[in-house]
Amino acid sequence: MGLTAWTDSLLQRAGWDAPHWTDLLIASLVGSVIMFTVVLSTGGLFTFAFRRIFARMGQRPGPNRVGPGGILQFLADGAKLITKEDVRPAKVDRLAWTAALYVAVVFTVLAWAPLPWGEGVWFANVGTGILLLLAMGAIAPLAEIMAGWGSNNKYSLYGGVRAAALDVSYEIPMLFAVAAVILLVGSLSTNDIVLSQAGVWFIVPQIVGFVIFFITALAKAGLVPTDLAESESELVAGYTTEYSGMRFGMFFVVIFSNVFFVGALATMLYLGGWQAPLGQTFPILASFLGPATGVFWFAVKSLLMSFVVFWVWSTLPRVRVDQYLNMAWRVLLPISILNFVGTAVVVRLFQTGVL
Amino acid sequence: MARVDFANPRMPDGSQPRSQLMTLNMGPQHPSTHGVLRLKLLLDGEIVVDVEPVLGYLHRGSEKIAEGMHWIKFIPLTDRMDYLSAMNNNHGYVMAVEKLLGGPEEQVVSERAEHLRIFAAELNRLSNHLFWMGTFMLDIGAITPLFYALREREEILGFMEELCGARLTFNYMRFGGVKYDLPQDPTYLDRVQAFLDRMPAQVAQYQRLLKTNDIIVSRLVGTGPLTREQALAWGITGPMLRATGVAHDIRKAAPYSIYKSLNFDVPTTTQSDCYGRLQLRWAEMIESVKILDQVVDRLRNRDLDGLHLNPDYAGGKILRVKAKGEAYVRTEHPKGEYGVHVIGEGKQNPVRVHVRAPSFANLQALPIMARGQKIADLIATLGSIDIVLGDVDR
Amino acid sequence: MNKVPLASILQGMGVTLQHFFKKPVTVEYPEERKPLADRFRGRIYLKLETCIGCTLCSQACPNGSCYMVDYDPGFDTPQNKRKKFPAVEISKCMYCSLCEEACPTDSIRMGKEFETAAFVRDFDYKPDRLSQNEAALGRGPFK
Repeated sequence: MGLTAWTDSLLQRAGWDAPHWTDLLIASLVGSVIMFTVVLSTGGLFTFAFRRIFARMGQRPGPNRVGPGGILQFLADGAKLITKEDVRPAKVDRLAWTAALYVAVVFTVLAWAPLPWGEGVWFANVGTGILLLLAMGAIAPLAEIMAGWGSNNKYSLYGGVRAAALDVSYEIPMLFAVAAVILLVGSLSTNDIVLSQAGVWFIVPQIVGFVIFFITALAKAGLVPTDLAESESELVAGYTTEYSGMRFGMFFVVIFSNVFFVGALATMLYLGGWQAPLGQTFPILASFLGPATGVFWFAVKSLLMSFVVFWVWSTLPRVRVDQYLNMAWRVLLPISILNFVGTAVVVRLFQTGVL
Repeated sequence: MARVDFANPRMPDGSQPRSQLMTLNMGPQHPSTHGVLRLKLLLDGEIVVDVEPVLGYLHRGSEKIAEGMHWIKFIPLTDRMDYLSAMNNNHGYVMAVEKLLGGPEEQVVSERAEHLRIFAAELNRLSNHLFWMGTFMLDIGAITPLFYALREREEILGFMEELCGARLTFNYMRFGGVKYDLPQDPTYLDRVQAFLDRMPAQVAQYQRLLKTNDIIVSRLVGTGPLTREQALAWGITGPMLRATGVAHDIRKAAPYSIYKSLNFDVPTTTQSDCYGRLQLRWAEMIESVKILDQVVDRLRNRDLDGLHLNPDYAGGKILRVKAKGEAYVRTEHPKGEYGVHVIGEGKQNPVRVHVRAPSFANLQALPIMARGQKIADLIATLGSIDIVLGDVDR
Repeated sequence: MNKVPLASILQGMGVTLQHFFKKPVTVEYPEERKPLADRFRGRIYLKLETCIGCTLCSQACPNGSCYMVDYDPGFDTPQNKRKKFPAVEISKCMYCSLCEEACPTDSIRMGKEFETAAFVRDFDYKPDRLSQNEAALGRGPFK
């Protein structure tokens, strides 16, 4: 049941037969609050999770003092950042510098809307869900460019320019990889994508596409090994150099929300979404969780993929920007196009009954 | 070398830049300049057209201070020059002064003291290379190798703490020997030996993680090239020189202390880029382990003559050292050739102490290695030179 | 290894994953503390009963943090009739232990304390404070 209908029913029970636009307004407000909370708290928790995982890979304990097992560390970090002075350098391009942050946050949150958390559990059931998702994901890196230019700082400029180059280059292989999946599904709705994986998960026929998607998604999200836009050891802090206090905190949280987002996308497109592995229904689990079983499986798989992202982050060094651009245009693009064409040919052959 | 004219930036060969020439200041505060080093960059897009290092941010006037101190009091100051390999700094200075103290027949330093000195110096070389590897990987962006290197280095620092009481600024060497003999604990050498037995496996682990890693290879191969002629012309020494194929190691070329009687190789490679230097320093770690194995064996089994410290220069007599003459001694420091030039006039304090710092000399090669490369390569090259700003600036 | 793409990257990832399951090697200060070596060079400690006031320690100090003062310890010190004792600015002290080495009577020593942080900035330890450990001075490790 959609959020609007649910709000309407609530208001009916309260005795107020409101016009449709009131329902829409309240529903969108409530939905936005929920979405922002979910996305930003995931980002916050992931800052803690990243520090823990990364520390354990270096044989260190990681943050373990604030709260049980250190889990409230992100609240402590957030509190620290909020109380810091919000320095606005005098000569920044005010519109670009301030708006960059809002663009980053808003479009990152929006991109989560079509994600299918479970059977009938999503924020927005849009018929062209995957398109919306990719479009929002394509606008969010614009924030890096805006921050890079608007900061009036040569280091930020380098970060912004590198971000622009990377985004443009990696958009296309990612689209081709996703397009190959859509060919197998036949529809743009995210829910349909999950349901089509009932028999076999798409990672099996699309293993090449999966690898390409993972690499390109890492690049678009600005994560190591391609965090060139914010490469700490070269560019101090890249495009986030001139941000302090909670502004920097929000960029940080956005980066970590993107980690989960990459995991969730990989789950949805290639790992069967909210379906249990091998099509089994685990009855004990189902009775325990009831309708939330789908959410459970989606979360487990996304968290597993996020762990892989953190694992890669801990292990690999940073690539150089020209090498990565080379790889995008000379390696990933041809392979992704071949993957797409090959998938199209096989699908057509299946449809005409040859195979 | 001509100074770069940042006021009128031009391409050095007069050609047109691909985009606009831009100056960037990698200032003294930067996550990867290994200390307070300022680099003035002239950039054409991402390509480094020229780089001018500006030094002096850590200059403490050690050499001038030495002129007003007793001879012995300069030893803690040498600790603080290259603070990552303090034992080697101590060693160079005490050797230089001992040349002035002892006559030609007099054996100022006993055999036991020499073995203890080499034990400390080689352990410090190992610790230096470990830390270098960790920070080099950090500059490239791989954060975990640092913690693995620090894990090993922590054990070494624990051994140093048991030996002389401090973990970083040891103040261990004295004129005529070393300050302390081995620790009273009889298991000390056993634990050191156990650590040395583990080291080759750990180095193999680093190599498994990093050596054939596609990203490491693509980042480091061909980065920061230095030809043999350039290295010899610029006075580059140490692992950087050996990476160009010149097998010059002072421990073999002009052996001092007990190096003549020790069995070790001098690794060289002809791959003279950052990747080659990384391989070379891994090989040097293994060689240090080999040397240490032999020294520990001798300390344990052989009856080494003499005391750890010549009693003529022990206790209160440390303040009564008077040296006359002029001497220059060079040692093989982990970073290169470390030279100490002392001039004394028979008084309690030296007339002049000058330290030929390897990092200072090696840093001069940065512009020739970095021109034409990208900013990311510049960072990697700077890391591969292995500088410590305390050594560069003194 | 380079023939198969990504194979070496996966090998590297295997190394990090292997470490993920190992026990952390960190000593979690201040709950756990690493045991200090016997020769550990900590804060300077002075024994008033044996100091003879020879000033060798202040001569040996490289940065002048050790200097002599006139001080009456309140009890009889026949070995130090001039009543000259060393004082140390422990914030300046570089813990090199040359003073300990120069002392002929083994009176000035490096103790084992390194946690000398305090809320009041008075680190100029005259002989009275120098002869007491941090706990006796009401300072010491933050618990």
